[in-house]
Amino acid sequence: MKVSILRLFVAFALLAFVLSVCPTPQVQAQSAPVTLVVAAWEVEFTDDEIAAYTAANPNITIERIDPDQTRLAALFAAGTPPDIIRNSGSDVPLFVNRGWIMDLTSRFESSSVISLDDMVPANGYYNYNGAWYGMLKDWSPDYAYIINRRMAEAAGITLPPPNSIITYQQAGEWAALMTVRDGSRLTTAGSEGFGGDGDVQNVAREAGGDLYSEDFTHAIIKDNPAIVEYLTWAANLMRDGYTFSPINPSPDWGVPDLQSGAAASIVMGYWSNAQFAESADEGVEDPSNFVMYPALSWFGNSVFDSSAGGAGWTISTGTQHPDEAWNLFEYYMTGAPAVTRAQAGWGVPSLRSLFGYMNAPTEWQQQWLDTVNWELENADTSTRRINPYYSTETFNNIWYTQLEQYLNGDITIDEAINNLDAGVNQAIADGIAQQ
Amino acid sequence: MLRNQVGVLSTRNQPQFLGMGSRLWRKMGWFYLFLAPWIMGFLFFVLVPMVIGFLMSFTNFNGGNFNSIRFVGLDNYAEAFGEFFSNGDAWLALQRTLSFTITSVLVNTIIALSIASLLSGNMRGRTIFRTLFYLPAMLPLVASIWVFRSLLDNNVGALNAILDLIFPGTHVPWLTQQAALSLIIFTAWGGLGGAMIIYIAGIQGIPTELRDAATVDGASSFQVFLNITVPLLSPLIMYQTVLGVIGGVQVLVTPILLTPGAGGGGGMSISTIPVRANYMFMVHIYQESFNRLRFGYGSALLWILFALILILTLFLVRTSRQWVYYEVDPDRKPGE
Repeated sequence: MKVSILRLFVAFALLAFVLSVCPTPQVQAQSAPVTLVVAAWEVEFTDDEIAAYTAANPNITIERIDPDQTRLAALFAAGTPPDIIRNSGSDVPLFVNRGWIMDLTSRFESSSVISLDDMVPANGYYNYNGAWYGMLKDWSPDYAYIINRRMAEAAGITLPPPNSIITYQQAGEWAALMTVRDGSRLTTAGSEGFGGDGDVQNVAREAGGDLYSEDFTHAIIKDNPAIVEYLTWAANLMRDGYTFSPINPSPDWGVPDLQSGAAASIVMGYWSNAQFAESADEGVEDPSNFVMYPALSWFGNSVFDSSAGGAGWTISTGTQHPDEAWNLFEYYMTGAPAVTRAQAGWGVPSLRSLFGYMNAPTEWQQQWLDTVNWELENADTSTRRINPYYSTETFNNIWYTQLEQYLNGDITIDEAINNLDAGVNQAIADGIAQQ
Repeated sequence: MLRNQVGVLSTRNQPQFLGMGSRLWRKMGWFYLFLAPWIMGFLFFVLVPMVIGFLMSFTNFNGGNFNSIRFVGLDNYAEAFGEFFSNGDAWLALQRTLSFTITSVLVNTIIALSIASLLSGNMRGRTIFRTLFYLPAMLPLVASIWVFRSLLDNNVGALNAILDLIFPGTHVPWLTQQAALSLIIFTAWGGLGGAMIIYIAGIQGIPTELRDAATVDGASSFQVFLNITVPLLSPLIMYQTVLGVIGGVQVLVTPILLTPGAGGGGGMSISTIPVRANYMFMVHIYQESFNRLRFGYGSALLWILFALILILTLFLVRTSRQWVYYEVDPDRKPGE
């Protein structure tokens, strides 16, 4: 019987609809092929590492995607999140509150290759409300002060011995001496990297307080004299033209700026030694000129140098293969990739048992490593407190918007700080309302 | 044999469904079959997302956690209108957006019309010039912005270096304190080619006798352009204006990527917050949705933007009766 085209069309449309809403059977044999989707950067989880793992586990296929947060939000909204998510430790509270990542406490406690006692304190970013949600792949004290010795000496600065405690105020004076201008163009900024939320938290902790209240429901900015003083100092350094600013920004960022001579000193993490070393032959500043000091101190007697958040792995709540995902997690954190990362110099291992693999091929890298070891013994490298109700990027965005108005002369510094306080607290309130 | 409403022969003896015979259904089946891809695309990629977005605007959805979704009624809209009446970020962003849109549409129209008029005549090398003016329209947007940012950089940009040679000591902060101007220049540079091509086609459709007659009567070139060419091109100008307004109000990527990283961070990130002069309404929506994870509030702002675009478009259409010349009466009914 001739079937009309329209009936065929309706039949196909109905079939497509039925197939799309019917769930896929979940029953799988033990060795059934499994595809794990890992949201991680290619440079952090290389094709070779993937190939080595899949060769040893033939039933596992790994598909790597970039861990872009906007994409992650879309994938979660679509119900197709990756199995493993690489993220910053500072994002953990946010991810937990959005129900994105899995509580791994029982897996850590029963693991035969990862010991909670072997973890460095910086892993605390992945411990939220007493539960473990992942761990760092590596980390770095991220607020070290790195200065170009050649530029400092040219400006008449006598640098103190390595591992000396240097104050922010001293660094500001040096920045003024090292700044070079060609007319009104800033050819070398004396310094770069002040004023972000991480610095603010370090200063607040030095003063015995914190940026946030105990329960994270509000931020204490305008009522914290140390924070007000610090923000005013950082803003005036920008106003006076000794550092890049929202109205005179760098065309690039800290590491390339130091390499190209666009900045004479930066606040950056230990991890940058690897980037300086890798690009040493590319016609840039000789990295042996770069001296790394401990993090700057506001009061001159203590150093807080936490990791800004580190980077690590978590397992998504949407994974269909939690056991396979955990096996890959353990391999990445303790196996060949972990050893490779420790040897590469891009960061400090997150497990003490891997410290022995760290190496410093050059004298200047050895000086940097000595400073890290000094900080591990003498500074507070514990995690900073991450507010679960909003993103730290929001703090920086609000502050830079206020800074722009202050530097343009539209508002006073007190108004800028008051607006920052109001804006951050509004963002926290909005985040609480989302719960 | 009877004819049904669409004039297709049918017989009383054929099976009837909804008053139509099977032959008619077969014809209509082919019609809908070929239309099906577009219908499915419209349904799943336009209508369904619009409905979801509209429903989302009444919730506190944060983009990831479905367990904590709550219906919040009109709170998101109330907050948005509250910002409009209290000089909040949304209102400031909307003001800048409207200012940018009006300026960029005017600038683009004037420049594109002028160049189209020049390149419609018999000048040597007009093909080369047309190609050169159209090239920016073919370049990838992000790459173009990257190059512009490098050229306009405050300290190391080529433009300031050239200006410094001509006027020593010149240092224009193109990307910060002149950010709005830079955005308009970039938008004009990128949008010129497409508009120019359309206007050239329109100018070439104008009967030469009209221009010749005006010239014989003593009109200058400018008078011919103003009194003959522009009125006859007015439908195209209207079309370009409507598209320009709709595009201008929705500008998002360019102001973000044209801004160097906040605090000197460099790079090109969609999360970068632009300088205030380029903090547009869509940028504000993006920040609220993807940085602050307030998808519900962001959806409310998007629907307000949709309503605004609708109002602006209707305004342009209504006012076009005053300045757009149609060779046929637009109010004429069929058959008159």
